Amino acid sequence: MTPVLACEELTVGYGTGRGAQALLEPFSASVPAGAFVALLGLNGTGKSTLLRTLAGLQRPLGGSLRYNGMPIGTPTALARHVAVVLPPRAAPPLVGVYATVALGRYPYRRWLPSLSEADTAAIEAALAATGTQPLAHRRLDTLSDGERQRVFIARALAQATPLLLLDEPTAHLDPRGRHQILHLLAQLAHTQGKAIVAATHEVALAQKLAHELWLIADGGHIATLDPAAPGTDQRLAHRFEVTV
Amino acid sequence: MGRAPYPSARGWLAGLVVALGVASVGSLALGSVLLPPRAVLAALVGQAQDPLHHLLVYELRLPRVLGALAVGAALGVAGLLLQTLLQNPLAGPGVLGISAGASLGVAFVVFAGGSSVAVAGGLWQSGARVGAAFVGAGAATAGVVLLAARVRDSVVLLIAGLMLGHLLGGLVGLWQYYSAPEKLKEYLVWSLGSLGGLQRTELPYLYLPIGVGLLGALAVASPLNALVLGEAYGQTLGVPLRRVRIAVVALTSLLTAAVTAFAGPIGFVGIAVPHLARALYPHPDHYRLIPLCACLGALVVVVCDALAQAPGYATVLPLSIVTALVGAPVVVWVLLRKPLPPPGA
Repeated sequence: MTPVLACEELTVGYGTGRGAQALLEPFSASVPAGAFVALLGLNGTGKSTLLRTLAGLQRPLGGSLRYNGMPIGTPTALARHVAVVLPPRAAPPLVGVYATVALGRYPYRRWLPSLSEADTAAIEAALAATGTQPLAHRRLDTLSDGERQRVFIARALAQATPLLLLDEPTAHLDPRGRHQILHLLAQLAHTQGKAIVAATHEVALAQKLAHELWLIADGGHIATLDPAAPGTDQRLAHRFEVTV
Repeated sequence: MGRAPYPSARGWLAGLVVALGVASVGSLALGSVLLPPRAVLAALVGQAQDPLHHLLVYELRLPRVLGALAVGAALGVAGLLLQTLLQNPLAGPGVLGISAGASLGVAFVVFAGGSSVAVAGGLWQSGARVGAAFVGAGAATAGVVLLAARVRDSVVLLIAGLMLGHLLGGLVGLWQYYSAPEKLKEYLVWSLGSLGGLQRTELPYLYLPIGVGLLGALAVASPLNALVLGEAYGQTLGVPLRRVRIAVVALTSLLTAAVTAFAGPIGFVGIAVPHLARALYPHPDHYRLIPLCACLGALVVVVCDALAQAPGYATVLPLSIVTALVGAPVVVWVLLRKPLPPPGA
């Protein structure tokens, strides 16, 4: 089966031409439908840059990137394949939850001001899958961080894409909130067959819930690890544990 | 189960259209001769009992009021588009240097054209001024659109537009500094804005670009709605950011150029009206905000223009003075009563 996301010798970084600066070593991996991948790495190692590149928000410096076997197409084609949850930041005031989730339908309705039945069905399903139905009438700026994060995941689900990319969806959340979000992602991969790549600092939870770990090491090498493999514990400990 | 993402604004829109009608009739009644509203209405439908009424309403005042409607709608919508695109509540039609470009064009006609233009007579001069303003605004527009196509960041676009405005303003200032006092006065009067000089025959040239600009604004409403969570989210939804940026800059430039060419640089309306509209309708839906801003802008300019006529027959106040004196306190009052809606809304 064609993987939902496949990258080959993908080089990410900033700049163009001679001024280009690669942040990570060329990286090859693929994510099939139903797989939940956790992207682990210390701050500043290039997790966001990799995710932004996978999301089509910035151009790769080299290598290839394929979605369902196809290269990046038009912005709309890409928006129908990849939905993104960006790192949480202050919510714009006065924007409603329902309207936020409805934004996910933009790649399908474009110039039409009103929602079709397919649109509203997708929105309701996204609200239901994330347990945000009771929030639908609220405004974003009245939500807790955890609630808001679930609303943004609902927005991404409403986009009805095979691939879901999330940049630190557990940031600013309390332990229970982090737990809920990662369990929700594992569940979406399982029940809806989404291919999911999420950057997170929840190493232990990720090891428990994800199907694969992408671990960014010093020097920009990305190792793809099986969470259950015997050596994984040690490598994670080596990378993340702090000696006091 | 179907639910719209945003509530309807029909009530506000209907109210504003009624208010516009009342204000327009009121403005037609005001002037050197005060007419009763009934006489105005009679003259409008061609039933004037007094030929003087027909002349006053149809020939003299109607162009002014029709001009005020178009100018206000254009400024309100231009301000809204720019505030959303640049995600900045202080953006307005003035920030991209378009009015400054028009000003430079007019300064060229007034200061350099000098004697030869004056000899040709008043009407030709007004035509030359309009033409020069359009050329100046068009040149500035071309510059800003080129810029919009290159920049990666809307903040850079905003700053570069402001700098372009300062540069052109500096050139105008330099020219003013070396000019004769009577020409300075002529330029100053133009630069304070007025609809008094608007001729009936000029209306199509005002309405055509503004009509195109307003229709174009509705065409970018959908992508602007998708930018409410920021440019990055907009891009992941498939908004072609660069093209939207160029379209918005071109549309607002067209609107601003038309306004400035015929009525001079009118400050304040473009910045304030979007805030008033969002106070009425606090949702980031441009399909509703664009008509609201058009009606509200038209209302503000018609009312301010009527107030500008108020001092009596000899004097008509410049429009920019009235919009600033009346409008600024109103906006502050509105914003103090309500929380500031998002600039991206």
